[in-house]
Amino acid sequence: MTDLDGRLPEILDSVAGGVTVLDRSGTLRFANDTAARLLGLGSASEVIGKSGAELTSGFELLDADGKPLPEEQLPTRRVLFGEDVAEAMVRFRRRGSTHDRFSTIRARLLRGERAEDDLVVTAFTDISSLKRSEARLRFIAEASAILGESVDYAATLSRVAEICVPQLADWCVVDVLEGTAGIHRLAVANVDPQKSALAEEMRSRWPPDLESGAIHRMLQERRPVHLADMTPDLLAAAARDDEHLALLRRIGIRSVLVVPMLARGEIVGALSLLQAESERRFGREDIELSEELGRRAGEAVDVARLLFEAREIARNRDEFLAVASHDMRTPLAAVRGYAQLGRRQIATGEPDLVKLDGWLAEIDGVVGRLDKLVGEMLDTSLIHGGRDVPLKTTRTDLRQLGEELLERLRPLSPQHRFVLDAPEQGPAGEWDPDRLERVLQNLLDNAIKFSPDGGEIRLRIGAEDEIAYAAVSDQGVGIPAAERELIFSARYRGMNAGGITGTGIGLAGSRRLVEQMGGMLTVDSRVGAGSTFSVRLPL
Amino acid sequence: MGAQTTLREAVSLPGSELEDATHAMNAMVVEDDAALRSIYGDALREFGHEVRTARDGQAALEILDSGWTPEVVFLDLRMPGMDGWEFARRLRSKPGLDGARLVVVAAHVHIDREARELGADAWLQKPFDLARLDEQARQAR
Repeated sequence: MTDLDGRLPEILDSVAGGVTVLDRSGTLRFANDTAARLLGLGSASEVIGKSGAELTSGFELLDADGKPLPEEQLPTRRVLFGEDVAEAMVRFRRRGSTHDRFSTIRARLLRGERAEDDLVVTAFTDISSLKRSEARLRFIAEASAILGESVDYAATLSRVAEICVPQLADWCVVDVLEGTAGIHRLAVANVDPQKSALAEEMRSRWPPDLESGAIHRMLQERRPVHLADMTPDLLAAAARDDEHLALLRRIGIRSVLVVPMLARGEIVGALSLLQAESERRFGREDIELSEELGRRAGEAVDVARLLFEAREIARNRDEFLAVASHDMRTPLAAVRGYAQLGRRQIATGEPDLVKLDGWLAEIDGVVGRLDKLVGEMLDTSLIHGGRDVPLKTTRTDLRQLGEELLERLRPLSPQHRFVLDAPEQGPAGEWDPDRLERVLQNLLDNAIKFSPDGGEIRLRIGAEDEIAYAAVSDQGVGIPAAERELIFSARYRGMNAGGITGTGIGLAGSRRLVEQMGGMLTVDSRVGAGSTFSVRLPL
Repeated sequence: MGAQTTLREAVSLPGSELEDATHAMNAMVVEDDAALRSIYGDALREFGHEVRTARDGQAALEILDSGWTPEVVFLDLRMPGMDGWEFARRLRSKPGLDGARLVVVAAHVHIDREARELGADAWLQKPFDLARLDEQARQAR
């Protein structure tokens, strides 16, 4: 049999938990390697002979709830002062640090033959990582609860940023992608209220950069960007200029973590976490936790946006119905009017058949107009729903179409001069005449609407290199460059809805129809000088 | 103010079909839709009134400037060129015309509110019974 006694220290050193042995005087007689490490000392031999009080003096001791724990409450002390066995969960932190550790401590008295031979054996187990897991779960639960409270994601994300500090990081910055409008800095939270001026400066003076930097990299690589140690060189490289560098230095950035905010596989924003005054570094666990938070935040943004869109659609539909009913009542009024005139005529006993025939012909014409209106409403509905319109193509003469349209518009807008600029023999192709008329009507209506002071409205029709074109020019207010593509979006039309032609297909719908016919619709404009909308169609 | 209480959609009154030439009025129709303009004009003439029609506010003003004085004006609101709101303002500021009966004739949903804001005497929502044109004309004085 091997002699175990001699190898006991070696055996105890291989135990995962910490083990210490004190005598009655409170002097440390033995400590295994784990204990030395947990106590923050180099090796066991350094601690032998020291008093227990000396060893704990370098720590702040707290109970499970985070309240200061008097030394006499420590299990080892309690056993020294009379109890046989004592247990406790203790939270401790090296003085001056913000990093908490958690340990369960169990002390037991081993009685000797004489009282001075008594020993106190203390076993302690580090449960810091378990505690951190618990805290992470609580954190995610808390963040989810906040995110679920309201669909005002600007408000909920600001609050989430606030709970990120100090638990997860010293600074938390939330940026949300706004489609084509770029990125919007929604929140900056920091652990030290003394530094809120820095936070405000960061928010207002240094908008998020989509061209370079950690957020840019995260968006490119579509995964977290982790800069564990922010060296002075890295900091200088990240700064956009000297003033920015000075700000980053004042913040004292040590470690950086940028994670995506994800929804349905798309990045909707960036969650940037910074460590500064706590001198912590982000580790693997932090990345996982932050990614989870990013996913939940992204989903919250997504849900809020979907809800907003749904409400917008409902509102647009209501408006559409109001305008549609208005637009239909005018022709209905004419039908009713002719019918009543006819009945009164018959009631005279000697009806004027020529008059009657004229009114019936008018009714016929008005019903044709109503039918067109209903067709246009259905097209608008299809286009808004993102569906294709069933085209009815036939040989269509572009010049003839343009001529008829101008003929109809001339009396309606006497302050405009309508000019048709087309060759004798207009281009003709296989297009849908009703839809093409609708598009040109829309462009001409816009030309009238946006040149309220009158002027010339020119419809130029022709063909060139197998492409037919119809271009509507006005001398009106023009369109600022920034809005030139925006006006073709369905949303823009939505913002403009409510006008008298609100059931019309709009520019978005016009472009869709032209594209469905294999062509394109473009705009050229100068503010104050007018706009030209050009339809190009393959011949 | 009487406008709030007297302003209501015109209703058919018994006996309104009786055409009494002694009550013929000067009636003006301001309406951009050509078909409705001719229908309302024809109907009012049939009821025995003297009628002038205009396709927008500007054309209506020209008729007023020619010296013809309407006792009742049937006014559409949404018209290209000078709209009904602008024309109503001008009409009310013309000496001798501020007493003309103003009847708003329109298709949109909030016609009652708009008629009230305009200070109109009555409103008719399209489509309506042509007899109402006569009822309204006869209430002018």
